[in-house]
Amino acid sequence: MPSSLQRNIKRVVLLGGLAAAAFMLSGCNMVVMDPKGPIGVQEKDLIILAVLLMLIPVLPVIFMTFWFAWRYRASNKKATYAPDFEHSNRIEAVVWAVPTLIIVALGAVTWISTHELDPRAPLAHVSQPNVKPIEVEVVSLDWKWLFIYPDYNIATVNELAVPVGTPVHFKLTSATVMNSFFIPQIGSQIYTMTGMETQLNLRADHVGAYEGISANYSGKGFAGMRFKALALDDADFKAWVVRAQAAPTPLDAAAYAQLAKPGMEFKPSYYATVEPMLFHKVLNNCTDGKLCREDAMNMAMMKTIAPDAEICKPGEEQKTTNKSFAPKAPVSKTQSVKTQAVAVTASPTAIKS
Amino acid sequence: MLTHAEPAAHAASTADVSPLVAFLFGKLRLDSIPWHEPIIMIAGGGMVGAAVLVVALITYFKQWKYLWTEWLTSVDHKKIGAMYIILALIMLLRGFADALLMRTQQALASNGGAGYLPPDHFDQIFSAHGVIMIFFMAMPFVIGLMNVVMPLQIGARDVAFPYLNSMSFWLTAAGAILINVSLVVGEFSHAGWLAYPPLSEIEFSPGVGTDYYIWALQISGLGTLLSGVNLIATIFKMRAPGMTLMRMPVFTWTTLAANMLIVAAFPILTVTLAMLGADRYLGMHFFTNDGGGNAMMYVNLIWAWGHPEVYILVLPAFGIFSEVVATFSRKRLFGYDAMVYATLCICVLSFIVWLHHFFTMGAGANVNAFFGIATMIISIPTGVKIFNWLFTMYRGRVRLELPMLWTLGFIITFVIGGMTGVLLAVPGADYVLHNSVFLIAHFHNVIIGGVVFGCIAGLNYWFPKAFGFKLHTGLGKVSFWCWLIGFWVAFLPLYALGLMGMTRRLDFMNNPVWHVYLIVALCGALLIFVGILAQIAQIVYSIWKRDELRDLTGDPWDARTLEWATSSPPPFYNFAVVPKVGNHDAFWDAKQTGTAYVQPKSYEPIHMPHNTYSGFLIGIVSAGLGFGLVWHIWWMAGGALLVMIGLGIAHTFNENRDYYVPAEEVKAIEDAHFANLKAAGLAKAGQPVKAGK
Repeated sequence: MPSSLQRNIKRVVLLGGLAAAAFMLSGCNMVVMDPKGPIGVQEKDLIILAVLLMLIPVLPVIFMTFWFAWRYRASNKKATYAPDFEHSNRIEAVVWAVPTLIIVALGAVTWISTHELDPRAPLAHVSQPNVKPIEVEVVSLDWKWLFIYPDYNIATVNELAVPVGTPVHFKLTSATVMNSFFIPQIGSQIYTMTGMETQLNLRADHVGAYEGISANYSGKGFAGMRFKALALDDADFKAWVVRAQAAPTPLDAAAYAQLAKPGMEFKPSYYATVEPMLFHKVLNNCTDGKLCREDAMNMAMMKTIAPDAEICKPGEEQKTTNKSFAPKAPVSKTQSVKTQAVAVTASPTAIKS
Repeated sequence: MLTHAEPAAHAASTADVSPLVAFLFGKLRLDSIPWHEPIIMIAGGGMVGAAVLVVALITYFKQWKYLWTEWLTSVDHKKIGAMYIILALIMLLRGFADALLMRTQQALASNGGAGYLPPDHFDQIFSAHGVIMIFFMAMPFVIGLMNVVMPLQIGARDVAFPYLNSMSFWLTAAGAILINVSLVVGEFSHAGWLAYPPLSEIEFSPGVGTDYYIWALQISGLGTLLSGVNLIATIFKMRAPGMTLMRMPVFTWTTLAANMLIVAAFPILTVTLAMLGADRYLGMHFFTNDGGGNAMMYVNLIWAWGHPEVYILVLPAFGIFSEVVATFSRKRLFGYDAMVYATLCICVLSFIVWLHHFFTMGAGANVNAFFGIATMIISIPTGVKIFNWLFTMYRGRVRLELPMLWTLGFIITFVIGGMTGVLLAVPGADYVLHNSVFLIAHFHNVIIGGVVFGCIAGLNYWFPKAFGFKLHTGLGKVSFWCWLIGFWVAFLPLYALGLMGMTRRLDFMNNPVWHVYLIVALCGALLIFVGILAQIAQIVYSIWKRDELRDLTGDPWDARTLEWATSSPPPFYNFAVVPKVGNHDAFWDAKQTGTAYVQPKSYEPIHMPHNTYSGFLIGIVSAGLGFGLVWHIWWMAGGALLVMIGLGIAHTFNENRDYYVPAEEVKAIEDAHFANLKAAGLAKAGQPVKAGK
């Protein structure tokens, strides 16, 4: 029986080795291990370092399992038999110390790398202090990705383009259920959630077209929720922007309402102009012109702290008395705030809408 | 057009029917049954056919009375434990069928094809697979083994609350019934095994699937919680004289730890699902997109239960391996104290790591780093355990019987799974690996390699104790090698695919490179399927050949702990004389000092509980409660609840709960046992020993 076991064990080891070798050889498909941006590179190195650190105890354990099972097999009467050997301070010290030391080392690596790789930490200050990051606002819809470029007043669906070597600052939210924005070959993913703004900083250092996905299941059309992430050189990127700006359709409230309907889009589309503050409105659940969540909360707070203050009527221009709770928005954006109908009260029903 | 809403058949409205029909049937209509879906109809037909066959066989062989008195109404912990394990094995088949369907779909739909499953069905399958495997396979298996073994290990005659134990099992069974009903009547949840909102909210999941999910888990979760209370009380109050806490067998320790986790964690699940239910049924806004709801709260709460749940499953498995390694190395367990402390460390730490399931939600670096490092710290006591098992083999006499094979397979498999787990605990690595099939490979690596291997090791180890004959070795080895090799063939490709950027829960993809790996993974799954079939064949064949595999001694493995001191199967009262304990290897010591197998001169009457049908009826009626709630059939739900309460109250009037087994009856049973021992050359009859108290 032990010999057949040995044979089987050898077979398993051989198979495992072959499989591992096969995976190594196919490394070129392993996008996570072949990153094209600094965040991804750091994450790849982190994976390799962590695995190597952990192999320090794991490999001896695997070896000892085979060795002890074989050496102390019942039929081997030559081996020492110590039926009451149940405690040894020396061994106990080693078996507590070894994992502890590994974890201390890995814990230090974790603390440092987690701060370095914080999705919210800007990339620009590290190597390119003078480069202004490009801003992209991301909205996950059922089941497509909307990318808004506030600097260029364009928007695209299912196609993201960034200039190579330039840091990109993403602000993300969801107009529907939870999703996760992820370009495996560039680096970190981040959840998109309704009413919540998450942030992500990435950079692509090599020209190419990369796969972007949603990495969090979001319902029936989830598998089709993919996008192309294009890393273009400066000239190509400018051309891409110009092409988008020449698109025939604007992304106004009506076009957005159409886009937000559930469905899959396999072809990218472009919008020449974008409804002002669209991302803000998605975030605050007011793309349909109703009271924005942020404003409702501000009003509710105002009612608490200044119950006698005058509150503006719908359709009215904002008065000086209630300027204090107008959204703090840049000048260029205030116009849309003013034209928007603002409900009178901050009652629960108003908030609900 | 794709929408979140269900096909019309699944979302029958109550608007266009007469009030009487709406009252009688709630949302349930004839077209709630997916007649047009052949896969579901075949599966459902198979299930109904199997049930009819079982009923017919029981009727033909006139076994209804036996079934009723010996099993359904039994309060004997050994029988309840066996029923838990039978439930687990049946649900293993159901859950594994789901796994095969998924693997096949992904293999077919990864090279430009559409596969054979529409997304709506695929989504239900992966949701059902997760729910079934965790709640209705792993949990009943682990709780079943705890039920069978733990009272025997501590020298008790039953659990602290035998009637509660029966009710706990039947509540769990009711949950399993609801899940299986959902296959045919209506639909199951398509929101994943943890039903993250907002997807699981009424806005995005208007069908009854999520309601089945909620009520199946609420009902079975109640059973689990009650069982946890029961087993903790048993361990604290019913140990044999002399068995101090630090003399308890390690499996009893891990049972205690797991049940403390159950009692601490399951209320969180209950509350979380109640809040989700309040959103869906009462229009509240705990986790909705608007009205002030916040889905992040659900994700935190569900994992505050979900992470301890992992240890509820794996700690008892660690206990099983501890028993097996010591027995089959013929050696004391190395580092017993360290084992106990490591178990308790894991128990506490398991409550402060939940956030590692969602590093990518955007928490700050300090928070993510804290939870990452806390997670890694768990690997220290776990590592100590593994070293202790190795040093138990060291200078032992290792017999490669089936339970030991599973243990060795576990160590090799689990250290790899542990390694990928710690890797995922590094937030920076998790940012690119989260939700990928790498994660899928990791948790199957620890749950199959740890929990399932542990349960099967335990099944092979304690089966002769529960039924009096061993399981067949040859078929057991076939099963073992198919499982072990099949596991690696199925999940190594997933590790690789995760690094290739493949995320989980995809019903189609077009990638020729992935296609090859997915075909290999399917082959691995099929190999595991052969392993499961061999497992079933092993049990069936062993029952058929039970006379050849019979064990007369009660101690077929030359083992160490108290459960082996009584006959196999144990008499319903477990121990004629409550043993006295001086060490954590109590039975081994007794064998060494010659005090084992000594028949006392006389016996005393034994106090035992009567069977009761209350637990069975309450459990089964609770399935009606769940069904009524799912379909908004309020008279059924209300009626079932009243019946359950009524049964509970009626039971309190039952004065005839316990009785004394006469000393003569005990003597007759014990004489037969000692005759067996004499035949095996072990008994030392006639020596005067006082009956213990």
